[in-house]
Amino acid sequence: MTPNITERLAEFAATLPTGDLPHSAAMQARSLLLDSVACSLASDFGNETDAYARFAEAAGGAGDTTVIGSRAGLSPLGATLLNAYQITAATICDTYVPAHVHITPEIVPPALAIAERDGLDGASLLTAIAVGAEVAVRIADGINYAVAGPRGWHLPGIVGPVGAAAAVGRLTGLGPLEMRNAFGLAGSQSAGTWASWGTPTVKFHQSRGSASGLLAGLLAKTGFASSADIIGHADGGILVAYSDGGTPEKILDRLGTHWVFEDISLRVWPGGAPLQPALTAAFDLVTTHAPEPDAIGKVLIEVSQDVYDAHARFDRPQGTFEALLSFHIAVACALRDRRFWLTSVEPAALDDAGLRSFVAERVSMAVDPTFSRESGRVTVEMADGTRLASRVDGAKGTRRNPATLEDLRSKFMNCAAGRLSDADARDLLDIIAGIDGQSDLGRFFELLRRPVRRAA
Amino acid sequence: MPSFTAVVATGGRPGASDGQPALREGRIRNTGKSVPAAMEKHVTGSEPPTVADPIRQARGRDLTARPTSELAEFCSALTYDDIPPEVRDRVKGIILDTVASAIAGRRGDETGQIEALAGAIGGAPRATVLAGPRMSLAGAALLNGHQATAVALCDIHRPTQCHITPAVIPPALAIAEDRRLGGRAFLTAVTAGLEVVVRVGTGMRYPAMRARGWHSPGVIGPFGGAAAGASLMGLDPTRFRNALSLAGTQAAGTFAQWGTPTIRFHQSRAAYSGLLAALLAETGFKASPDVLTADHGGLFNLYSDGGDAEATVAGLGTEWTLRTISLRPWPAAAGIQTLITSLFALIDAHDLHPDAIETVEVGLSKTVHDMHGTQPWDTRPGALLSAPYVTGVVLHDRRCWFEQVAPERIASPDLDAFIRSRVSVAVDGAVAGPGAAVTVRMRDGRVFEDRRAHPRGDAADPLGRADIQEKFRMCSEGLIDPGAADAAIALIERLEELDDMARLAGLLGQPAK
Repeated sequence: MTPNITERLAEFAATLPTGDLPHSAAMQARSLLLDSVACSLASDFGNETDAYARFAEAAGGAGDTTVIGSRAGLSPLGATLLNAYQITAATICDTYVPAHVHITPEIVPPALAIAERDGLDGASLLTAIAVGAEVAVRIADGINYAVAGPRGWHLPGIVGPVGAAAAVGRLTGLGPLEMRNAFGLAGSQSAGTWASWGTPTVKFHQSRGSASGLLAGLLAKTGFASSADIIGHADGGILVAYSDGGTPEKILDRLGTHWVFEDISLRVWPGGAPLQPALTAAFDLVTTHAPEPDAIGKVLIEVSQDVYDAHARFDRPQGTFEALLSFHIAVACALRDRRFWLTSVEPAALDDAGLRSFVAERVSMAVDPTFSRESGRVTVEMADGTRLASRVDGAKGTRRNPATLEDLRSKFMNCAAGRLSDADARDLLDIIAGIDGQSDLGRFFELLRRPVRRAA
Repeated sequence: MPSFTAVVATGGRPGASDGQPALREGRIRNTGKSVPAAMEKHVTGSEPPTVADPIRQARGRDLTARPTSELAEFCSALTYDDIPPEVRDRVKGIILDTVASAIAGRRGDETGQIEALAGAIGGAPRATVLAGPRMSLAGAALLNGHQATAVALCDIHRPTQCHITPAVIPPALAIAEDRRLGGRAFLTAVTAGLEVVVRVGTGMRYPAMRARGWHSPGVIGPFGGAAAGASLMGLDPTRFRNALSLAGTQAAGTFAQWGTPTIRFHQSRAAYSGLLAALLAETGFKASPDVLTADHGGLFNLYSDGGDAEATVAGLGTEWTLRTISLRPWPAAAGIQTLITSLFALIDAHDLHPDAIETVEVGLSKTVHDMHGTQPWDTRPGALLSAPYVTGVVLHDRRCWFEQVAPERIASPDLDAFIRSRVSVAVDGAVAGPGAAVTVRMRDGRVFEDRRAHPRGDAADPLGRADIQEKFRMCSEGLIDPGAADAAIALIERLEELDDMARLAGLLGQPAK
């Protein structure tokens, strides 16, 4: 019998030899791990991270699994929930732009938990992250976000569990049939909608999705049976339940030879993923023209219609969470301060009268109907009437405009500042850069536990 | 593909549990007397009218109805004294039944696997697994949620085709035990949880939801655990609403799992999801202001055809929809409980012996026939779902309990031959929903017939308390010390006097030596 779509994807996930990644895929997997750790170290900028830590401990319980940035461990479930939340907490994690989905929060934490529990090596961890991410983005492509998004589905909690299950399944040595069951068990937990937009529950989708993948992988390991084709089943398969049947051929297209997860973007700056093209344009403008902040008259930010609909409302953001979704704040900071970092959206910074008046008096937003989500234009009208404009059709950090290794190292050091000593931060950077050569991850996990709380 | 046709029960008969005959010989049996002669009228659900623009319709509703908030406000304010005594009594019966089912669930085929999972996710033990080890809150919710449904004994809410109790009572038990709360708070919380699930399910309009592939327990179940947990935590209306929204954002599980044990994992995972939702909302974590009817991503649009916001909250506080929950006397599929009821009625009325039977003709609705009419019975899970097998074994053994689906019984050549040569199961166009029509032709030429619309234990014919207590004792056999089982029954019957739920948990956690 011809294997179905889920079986073929599961077989790929289960049988790819460890370490058998092309150079570019291995590079991307290392970048995703590095960026995940970086984002976690900055998670204290998220308003709800401390509350979430209390929740993770209550639900999952104490244990020995590493929580990034904490000396105290949690249970595998608790650590997975919390690490996933930490990666997404400060709104600086990865995005797979075509499906508007964050991938690393779901995939990396359960992979870390199992690698640590079972004393596995770096090559296994890296391959699991690559395979998990690849499974997630391929299903996201199959779902076809252009259909699922407008209906109301938010994909991290839908494709994330399956990718996470793939990562866990690899690390626990699932065979193809068990892997198919793991996918089924993950898909039975696929959930999360845009009803949560504007609340931190959108980040819960990532965290819960990560834990769902952990449950699925662990339960499949016991031999628990599940749907034979969770992706393509006509009665409640992922492609019909969360879309219109989707584009199944995309899921298997050049599987094993073309790595779609290399298209996952990393953010050089904080802020919602849709803000990144405009931020890129603003910083391009600063680099090229260095407009004097005091001489800036008007600032116009142009975006696609759907981005405008989702974000224009945050012109007067209340708190850090909303500020990270605010084009007005992000672009104003880029132009006025020539810097946009998490410190820019702390309450004191947001209360700055100069910033407030700059935003209120000079910054506006509009729609360019020809734009996609990946485009943005920033036009500055100087007091002397000069107009400076920059258009971007691929934000910094995307495949079209990749972040350099130096960009990512610089982001990592920014995130680690105040939490790790410079020496420890560089040590951790070096370990991650060569993670696939690490036969023992003990030092890696020890460094993940070492950060201190940032001084207030 | 299996599919359900929703059947809307015509409502409970409050107080009908009184006067039910006690179970005889320590085994659940049926008698002619205990089965109402008159059949309640059932209404076969049909696809609701097509909505030209469901999103627009939902938008219109969105302006006037905020069912998530209304449910939250109601539950947040709900106290023990607000619950009518007769409803409290019904809920006690449901609690007793669920605990019984979850104890018996230690014998489930996949219980060891879920226990391994619950152990692997880790965490220090804080809550009791019924007849099992203590585990973390999440582990206990997962495992008790599984055990409650593991051996096909738990409740069934027919209008939404949902097993509700596995998602509601396990997280409530875990939180109540961990925080050493009292029986009144627990009973109030379970009442809130059950009521919320039935109401969200009603608003979801099951036929439309089913047509999209969704399986109720994992979709509407999390709301119940979240509501029960939030009630125990005493959350204010806003946090309570956030708990419901955090539950709704975990709504998942489809019929792609039909025929695999993952269909039961939906219940287990729903219990866990409800627990997560309540614990996270307690921290003040914010969630959607209206997860059910939000314009973009509201569940009524996404999982259904726009749903029915008004029905979700209609009569809230005066009409207790949890009364429409049915219980199962026998460990068999919910869809064939009426068949079993008919068989026992015929046995009691006519003292049927298999040797004297020429043929047995079983008529089922198409929906039930599709699911159970041709189900092979070569495994225990299969036998529990098989109308032919259950017919044969009940006529032979005059019992329907676990030994009737034991491997040696399933493998009996005589029984197998009887089923294959004498029993026929077909669609009967006059039978609706969970009904059954049984015609027995005797070798001496006599013909006996029993037709009925619903089984014993149905909301329209609730189990008596003595029946449930006896079910509890039977479920506990070999798993809980008999003295502890009796003591637990007594504590549940007087829940309002129990000052610390950990006392009840203490009785239920230790496997019999």
